[in-house]
This record gives sequence, C-alpha cells and structure tokens, in this order.
Amino acid sequence: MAIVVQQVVNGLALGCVYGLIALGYSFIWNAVELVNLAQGSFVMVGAFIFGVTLTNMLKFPFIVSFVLLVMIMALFGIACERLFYRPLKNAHIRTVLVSLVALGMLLGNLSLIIWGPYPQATQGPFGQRLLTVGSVSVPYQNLFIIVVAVVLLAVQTVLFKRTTLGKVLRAVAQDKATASLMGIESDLAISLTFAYSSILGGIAGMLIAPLFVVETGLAAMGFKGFGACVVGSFGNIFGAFAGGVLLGVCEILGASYVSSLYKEAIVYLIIIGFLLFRPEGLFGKRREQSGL
Amino acid sequence: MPTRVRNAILAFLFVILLACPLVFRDEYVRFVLNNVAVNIILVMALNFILGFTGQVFLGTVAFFAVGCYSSALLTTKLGLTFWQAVPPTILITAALAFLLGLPTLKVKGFYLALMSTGFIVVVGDVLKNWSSLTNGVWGVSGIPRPELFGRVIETNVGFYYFSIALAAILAVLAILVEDSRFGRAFKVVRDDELAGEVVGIDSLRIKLLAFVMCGVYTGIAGSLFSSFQQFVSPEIYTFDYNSLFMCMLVVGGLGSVPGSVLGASLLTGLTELLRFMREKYLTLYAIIILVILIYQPGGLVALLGQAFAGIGGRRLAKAEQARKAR
Amino acid sequence: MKGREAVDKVLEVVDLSKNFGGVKAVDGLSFGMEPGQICAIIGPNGSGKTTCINMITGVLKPTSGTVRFDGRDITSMPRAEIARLGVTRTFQNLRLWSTLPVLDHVLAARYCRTKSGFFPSVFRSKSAALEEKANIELARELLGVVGLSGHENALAPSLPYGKRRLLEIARALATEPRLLLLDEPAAGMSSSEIDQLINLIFKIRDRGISVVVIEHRMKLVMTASDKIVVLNYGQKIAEGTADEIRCNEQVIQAYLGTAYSREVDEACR
Repeated sequence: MAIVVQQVVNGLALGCVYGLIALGYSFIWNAVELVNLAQGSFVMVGAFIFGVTLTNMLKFPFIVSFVLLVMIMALFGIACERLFYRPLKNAHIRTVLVSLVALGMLLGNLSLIIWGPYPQATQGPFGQRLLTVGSVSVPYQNLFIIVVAVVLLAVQTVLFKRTTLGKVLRAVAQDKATASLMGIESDLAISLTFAYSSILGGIAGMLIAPLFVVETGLAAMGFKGFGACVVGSFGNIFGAFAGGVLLGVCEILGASYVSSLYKEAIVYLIIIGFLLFRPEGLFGKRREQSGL
Repeated sequence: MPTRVRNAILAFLFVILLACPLVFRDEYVRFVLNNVAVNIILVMALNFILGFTGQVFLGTVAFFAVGCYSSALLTTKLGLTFWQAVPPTILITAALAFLLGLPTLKVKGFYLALMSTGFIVVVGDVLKNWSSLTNGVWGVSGIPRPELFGRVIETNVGFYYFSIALAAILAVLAILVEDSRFGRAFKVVRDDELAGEVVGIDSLRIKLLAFVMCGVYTGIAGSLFSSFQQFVSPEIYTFDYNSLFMCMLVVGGLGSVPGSVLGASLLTGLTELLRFMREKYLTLYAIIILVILIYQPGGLVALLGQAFAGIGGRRLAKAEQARKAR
Repeated sequence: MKGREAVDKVLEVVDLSKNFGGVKAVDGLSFGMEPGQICAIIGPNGSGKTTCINMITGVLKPTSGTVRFDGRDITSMPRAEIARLGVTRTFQNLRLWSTLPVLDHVLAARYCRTKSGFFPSVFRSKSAALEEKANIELARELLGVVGLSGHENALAPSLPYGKRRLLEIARALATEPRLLLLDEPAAGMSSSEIDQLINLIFKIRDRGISVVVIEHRMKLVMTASDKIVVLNYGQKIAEGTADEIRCNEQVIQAYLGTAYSREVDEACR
C-alpha cells in the first residue's frame, strides 16, 4: 500500500512536469496555431542553464538562480520567436514542421557546444532528502515539483483573469483579428506568449534536472508534453495540464506494474491511442470533419 | 525540373559516385562510401513519403530498424544466406510500413509528426527489450556478407560497388515510378489531396503505396547495412537519426530523386569531413537546413538543375545556329 | 411509375440538410435533374449553395437527407468513389496542384480511368504504354476543348485567373464524368469571357454530360440553364425555368441589397 502511495506521488510529480511542458505547447498553440515541436528543447536549455551554469558552476543560491532563469528564458523565448517563428508565420505546414525539427536539432547541438557532450548531475534545493511519513518515503524534490506547479497554475490563472496583460494575451489567443481592431498589438502579445511558454519550459527543466541527469536527451520530453496536450486538450489550459499529470502517473505506475523495460513505449502507446481514437483529448471538443 | 535535366543530373551523380573509389584509395574513405550508398537508398525511401507525397512522417528510421534486424535475424538465427533473407526482409519492412501508414488517413500534420516519434520509441523499445528475439542491447553479430558470382564480397570497395549498383537500380525505379500515373498521383496528394479525391484519386491508397515503396527501399537498405557492418544494435535508431535523413532530403532537394542522391552523398561525406568537430556538425546541418528552407526550397539539386539546363540550353542554341548556318 | 421516375433522374437530392453547430446551412433541400440538363443553383452568399455541392460530391457529410446519382444512393460514399462513379466538380476557390504542369493536371485526373496496374505502368509494358499515350492524347484534346492548348508545360500558378478556372474544368472532364458540378465558374470573368464559358458549357452538355452550375452571374444563369433552383438561408425558395425565375418576386427580394441585385433586376427586363 505504501508503495502505491509513493508511486502515485512520484507519478504526480513527473506528471506536473509534463503538465508544465504541455502548458507551454497550449499557450503557443492558442496564440499562433502552431505546435512548438521545439518546446522540449526549451526544457533542455532550461535544465542546462539552471542546473549546470547557475547552480553547479556559478553556485548561486536557489532563489537567485530561479529569478535569473526566468529572465533568461523569457529573453530566449522572445529571441526564438523573432528569429524562427515569425518568418514561419505564413509558411506551409510542411515547411513549419521541418523547420521546427531543425530548430530542435540546432538547440540540441548548440547545447553540446556550450555545455559539452557529457551528461551532468545536479542537485535541487533539497538534495536527495526523503520525506518519510510512516512507511511512505518520497523525495522532497518531487513534493517541491508538485507545489511549484500548483502555485504556478494558481498565479497564472489569477494573472490571466485579473491583469490587463493577462486579458490581452487571452484576447489575442482567442481572436487575433478582432484584438488588433481593438488596438491590441498582437505581435507584442505573441512575443510575450513565447516568452511565457519559454519560461514554463525552463521551469520544467529546472524541476526535472535533479531527478534525471542534464543532457540533450531531455529534449525528448517535449514530445510527451505534446502528447499530454493530445490526451488532455490543446485549447483548455487545465485540460493540457491534466493530460500531463495523467501521462506522468501512467508512466510511473506502468513502469512498476506493467513493465519497467517498456515504460516509454507504454506512454507513447497511450498517446498513439488518443491520436487515433480521441484526438481532441479528454477535455477537448470534437471538431467537425470537413476535409476542407 | 524537366525530365531530361533530371535524368542527366542523376546519371552525372552516379558516374561521380562510381568513380569515387578510384580517386579515394584510403580504406577508411572506402568504408565511409558504403554508408553513402546505404544513405542514398534510405533518403530515396523517405522521398516517397515526404518528398513525393508530402506526408510529414518522421518515423522511417523505425522501418530501417526493422529492416536491419529482420535481415540480421534471418541470416544468423535461421541460417539464411544474404540473398535468401532479402525477400522476406523486404516483405516484413513493407508490411510494417503499410501498417504504420494506415493511420495517416485520420492523423495529419503535427499529430502525424508526434505519432511517428511514438512509433520510433515503441519499435526501439521492442528491439532493446525483447532479448530472446533480438538479443537486446547486446545486438546481433556475425551477419554474413553476400555472395556474388560465387565469391563473398569481403572488401569495402567490392561491397561499395555492389551497393551503389543497387542504389542506381533503385534510383531508376524511382524515376520510373515518378513519371508514371502513380508518381503523378503522389504529387496530387501532396499538392491538394481534396482536389485529387474529387477526380477519383483515393488519397489513402496513394499514401499507403508511398509507405510501401518506402518500406521496400528501406528493407533493401537494411539488408545492405546489416550485412556490411556484420553487426546491428538497437540504440542507433533514434529520432535524431531520422532527422538526419530528413536533413539530407531537404538539403538535396525535397521531392527529387537526384536530390535524394545528392543530399545523402553530400551530407554523409560532410559528416566525415567534420568529424574533427565531433558532435557539433549537427549544428551546421541545422543551420544549412534552415537556410535552404528559406532561400532555396528546391534544395541544392535545383541549383544543379539550373546549371545543367543552362549548359543544355547553350548546346541546343549552338545546334540551332549550326543548323541555320547550313 | 414512381420507381421509374427516380431512375430517370441523373441527380436527385431529397430532404438534404446540414447543421453546423446551431446554424442550418442547408435545410430540407429537395430537387431533381434530368440527364442532359444544365441546372443552375443560385442564391445570395451564404444561402447554402456551396454546402449543397459539397454534400453531393461527398466533401461534407449531410446531417440528414439523401443524394442519388442515376438512382443510386451516394450519400455516404467516399469522395473518390463518387468521382469514379461519374460525379465530379470544380471549386469556387480553385484547387490546383502548384507543382504540376498544365498537361499533367489533366493527365493526373485520368488516374481513375486507367486500367494498367502498378507493375505494368512502372515497367512500361506495351499495353500500359499504349494507355498512357491515349491518355496524353485525350488530355491534349480536352485542353483544346477548354481553350488552353498552348499552355501544356506552364505551371498552374503562372496562368492568369481565367485560364486557371478553365484548367479546373479540363481536369474535371478528364474523369469522363456524367455529372459535372461547377462552383462559380464565372467568378471574376468579363462579359466576353462569360460568353465563351457559356459556349464551353454547351459543348460539355453536347458530350452527354449533365451540368450543375452554382452562379451569381445572371447572364450565364439565364442564358444557359434549362432549370434553376433558388436558395435562400439554406432553403429552396423557387424552382423553374429561366423565364419562370427571371421575374420571380422572392428571388429579387432575396438578392436585394447584395452585389448582384442589379444583375438580377436587369435579367428581369
């Protein structure tokens, strides 16, 4: 019984990370109708910047590193948007897809150049310490992840509903044309959306770095985040996050109770299943098949 | 690109490829040339799906994995010879390609990209973990070389000429398909699927045909690769490896058979030249791909095409002048 | 008697409806068409004409109702099969293949009428080569019929707008249809171009093809149609010959205030 609780908590933690990545996809999708296949690379970059540069090398305290990470990721997101996504705005979907894959490659290899090819270990603010309640032991880091994610979601919801900036971003996400007629600078809003998604990716990277080693393979998580949006829903923010949590729990439980060798395959089979039979996700609305 | 120009470029490229071992006598280079040959076939395979038919399917490396392993296992575990293993390998790979092509009816665009990476992971996991069948992460060794005219092809040069000959045959087959009604149908599905359907072209059937062609070519490439290395292991068949082939196709010329040959040759060769940069060469590739996408979407083969058409045009003009002078 | 009537019609639409969310784009539409007729569907923008044609050709699935071609229920058939049976169409927003030359457009549309299998085609067997030659000749002939003969090797995007419309028609004809649906073929055409289009439609009819035309240009509609169906807000508000519809009050009302109201008025005089 204790083991199940542990696994569920671990699954929730992993799921929260996937959920944050999924949020990044969701925001960009709602803003520019584009699936950011390079989102995983944002996660990887975030992990490298936070884990290796800020924590390992410069040895900044956690809060400082966190703030710096957010700022750097924001700038990084805006830079990517200007350099890559803006020229792709009206391109054919094939070009966009190929370009995004290329962008992922580029970021992966720039990371190799900057941080070297060897995987690196990094400590979170709680190290490897475990919280033990009765017979249940859970790493503090995992609880930390869950708390951070929940707080982030709450703050985000408030910001989006209450502040002008939030309303602007939502307006642009829902209807660009009308928003621009009302004087809202959609280009700026899109840049900000990318900045925010990049921050989300960076935070995901920061949270996950202590659990896994920091290496370019982290970018592969991006696809699971995409999958989370498929399982949850693209349009609905909470749906996307929930999809991520679901996948995380399934991955951990699947590894324990079905097969730990095939745990990746299990997650992707779930994603493939949704793609085939319920592409709008658990929380999405079925779109009319017009073929046009 | 006019048909004549395309055929001329293709012939030109293969002449150069055939001449390479005569110019490069170094054994290591000759070893690398074999990778060029296999990659040419793999990129031509991808071209059927991504180039001709426009389906952004990013999972063909899964077919390659199955092709390599089928050939490896059939020869080592069932004792078949290289040649005996080729038809079943082609069949298995094509069948897998057919199966993975079926979802393309419902799943498109970004979702198809996601699905294809899923396939890579699933196939990869199976190859790594079904140890009783595949020997897991230790791989399969002792794969035999093919026998031709009574002799086993032992040398790098020998195997290279063998593979390049196969590649050339497959290239000719590819342009025969391209010029047939099926090649036209591929391009119809790429350019506007719906318009094709209302004039009677069933896009699912055509997409499946493209997948099967890809599977056949990949099966052959898999047989060649596993036989050349005489060893296969499961960890090379990754999404990144797949992206490499995509780069080769885009840089060479998406939708072009000579483009596939050109892209595969150039980038495989470039990889070797840039070995001193170790893993960093991929950055260069990514930049090249992005530059090509923006400035020269027809790929490098389009530049070659202009050069050839220019030479051809001048030749024709000279012939015209000569005729008029008489 | 009733069964025989149903078989006699080349196209029959029975109680066809399409709901998009809460909007009824087409509402209980019924009409029929005899073989060899030219039938025009008219109505202001948004009246459901294109939705109707989409449902007939299988591009959209109807919410309810039936479509019959030569007595055969084609309502839920896949699009390519409907085309193979002999129903094809052109598009209002032109859907051409940007990388295929003009001749290849028409040639590609011969796909469903070509019998040679994969291996004979690819390896150029004698019968396959003969069939390909015949297809090329037919494609050239069709380009001549629509008036595009000199443009075989041009790429579709390089053609002027009017010629691109003709290319779509030539492509549709390549499938040897028995029913051809044209979605606003005269859009953007000058008066003289419309005359040529009318002649082309008559030529098509003379080849034994029944034609449905969605149009706003009243000159085309009044000159060429044997029968007119008028839609407004997804419903049929009138049906009849050109003379009957010409001065129909409801039709004039429906078009009132739209870009075509003057043409409608002029048609009445």
